[in-house]
Amino acid sequence: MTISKAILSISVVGLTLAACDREGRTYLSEPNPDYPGVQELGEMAVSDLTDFRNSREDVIYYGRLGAAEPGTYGGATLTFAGTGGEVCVMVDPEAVFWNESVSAQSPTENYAYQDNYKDDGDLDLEVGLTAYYTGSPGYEMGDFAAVYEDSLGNEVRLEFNECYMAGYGGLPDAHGGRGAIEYCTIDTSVHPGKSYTVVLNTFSVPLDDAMVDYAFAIVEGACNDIASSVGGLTECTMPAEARDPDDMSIPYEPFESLETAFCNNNLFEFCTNNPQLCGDED
Amino acid sequence: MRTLVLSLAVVAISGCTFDEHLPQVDVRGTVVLPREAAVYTVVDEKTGETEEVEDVRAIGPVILGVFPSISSDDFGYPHPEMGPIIVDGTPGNTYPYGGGTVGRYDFACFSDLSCRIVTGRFKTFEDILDWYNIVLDDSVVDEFGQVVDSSEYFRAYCYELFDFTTDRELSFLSEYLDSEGNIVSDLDFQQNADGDYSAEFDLWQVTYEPDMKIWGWMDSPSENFTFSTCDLDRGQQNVEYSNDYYYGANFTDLINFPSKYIYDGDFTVQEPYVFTEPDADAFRAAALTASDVSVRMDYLVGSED
Repeated sequence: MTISKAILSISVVGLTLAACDREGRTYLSEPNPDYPGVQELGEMAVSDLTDFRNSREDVIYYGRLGAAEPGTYGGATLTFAGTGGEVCVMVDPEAVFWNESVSAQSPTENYAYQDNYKDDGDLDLEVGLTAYYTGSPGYEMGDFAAVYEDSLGNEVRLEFNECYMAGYGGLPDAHGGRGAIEYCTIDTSVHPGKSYTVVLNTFSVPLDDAMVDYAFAIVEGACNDIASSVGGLTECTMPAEARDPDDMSIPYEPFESLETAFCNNNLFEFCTNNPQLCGDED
Repeated sequence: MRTLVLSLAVVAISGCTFDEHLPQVDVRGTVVLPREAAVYTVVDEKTGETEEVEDVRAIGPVILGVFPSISSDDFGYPHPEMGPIIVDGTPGNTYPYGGGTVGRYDFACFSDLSCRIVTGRFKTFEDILDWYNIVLDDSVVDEFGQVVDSSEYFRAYCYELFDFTTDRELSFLSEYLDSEGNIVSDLDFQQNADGDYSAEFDLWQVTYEPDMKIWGWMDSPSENFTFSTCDLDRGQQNVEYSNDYYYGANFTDLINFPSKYIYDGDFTVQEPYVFTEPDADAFRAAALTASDVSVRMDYLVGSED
């Protein structure tokens, strides 16, 4: 073996051993006994569109979910009664996030800073008739799937989740993604008065505090109509989803300011003055 | 080195024979329609007189699927078993293992022909104009409402619309010159010695289950020579100034919810073909020919009344 080969081999072994030093524990969240990872919120009323438009803060429910126990799914469930028409179910998990502008030719000043990814969580929506829900509310998360077995013993998975979100290209079964609002229209005309279950599946909790705050609302009408009425369903539709760590009834001030800056298209100035709430400047 | 190369070559070649034991199989078979399926009743609008015409052009699209079982209990005619009814007023899904067709809807250049042309039924432009303009007395019209009575105008219009240069690029024509200049004629159905009509079919990648069955139906044309399995609001959209329409295409859930599209006058399979091999490997090993896998579509829906 030549000297150069020996040096190469030693280097590879050294790098391999060094790689073992990387644990990744910082990417895992610990459960918090004060905020369980699986919660049942009970029955909620369907809000009137006028109320949602005029006094939004009164009809929005603000919640907080902790990380689930290792090896289990986390999230919250709640129910509402079918109105006999269309209702829009929407959830906005904390926090604000954006993509850093990296274009050399036409950089966007507002997105010159990186997003602080450690304060973002993600909740995924599912909605269906309560009769089809397989979970145990407050104890174990479930879904709206059932198995049908045909006469030859072949099993077919039936999906009773009625919350369809279109993704890019109009493909169904999409989700809003990290920190983004999710919403879907549920047509309850076939089952007026029947109980529907909303499932907020915890996809991720923020790494900085292992708790995901969120804003939630159910409003009468189709989501498209509501979006037209309130100027779109966006990050800014249900503001101040991040709540004060010690008092859920009030917004978490630094975040509220960040979100306001985002919604007012004024991020650059805000991040310049509050760099701890944003990432590094490009 | 030479030994190594030869060894690698042998290994590579032997890899081509690797059997994945896939649970899906390709099925080639034959479907037989009774003579009556090719008979169309032409009504003279002025006199009300009727005339029966037997013609391969009257054969509608044939839709085939593979299902766990077939029963007449649900609708009065043979129909695949269904899963649970989830939405009131909508039948249960049949959850087929696979399917295919003999003939599909194709757009023959004029919106007047949307959902009225099935591949494998018409030989030439003349054949189409003869069927509609002469036999049915329901002339093909162009976007200006003018009767299309020239096959050359028909051809020129199609070439212009699709940017084509040969007839063989138009899949609704079954007779054309191939690249060698030979006449190719590939109509789907041929009349056999019994007077019935038979055609070969392919069902690709059917998930194999022993005892599964081939069932299907022929969508018979309506009085206006349209078909219930075609949706005029689907397919490619043509937008050219005010000439705005869709080409038309089949509904996408035909074999999942057959009863939504089957009406009196359609022909269904009464005695389905049953797959007896124990698994997909055994079915492949049996190497059945198209004539071995045969289904007869001879149950006339509505005849039970």
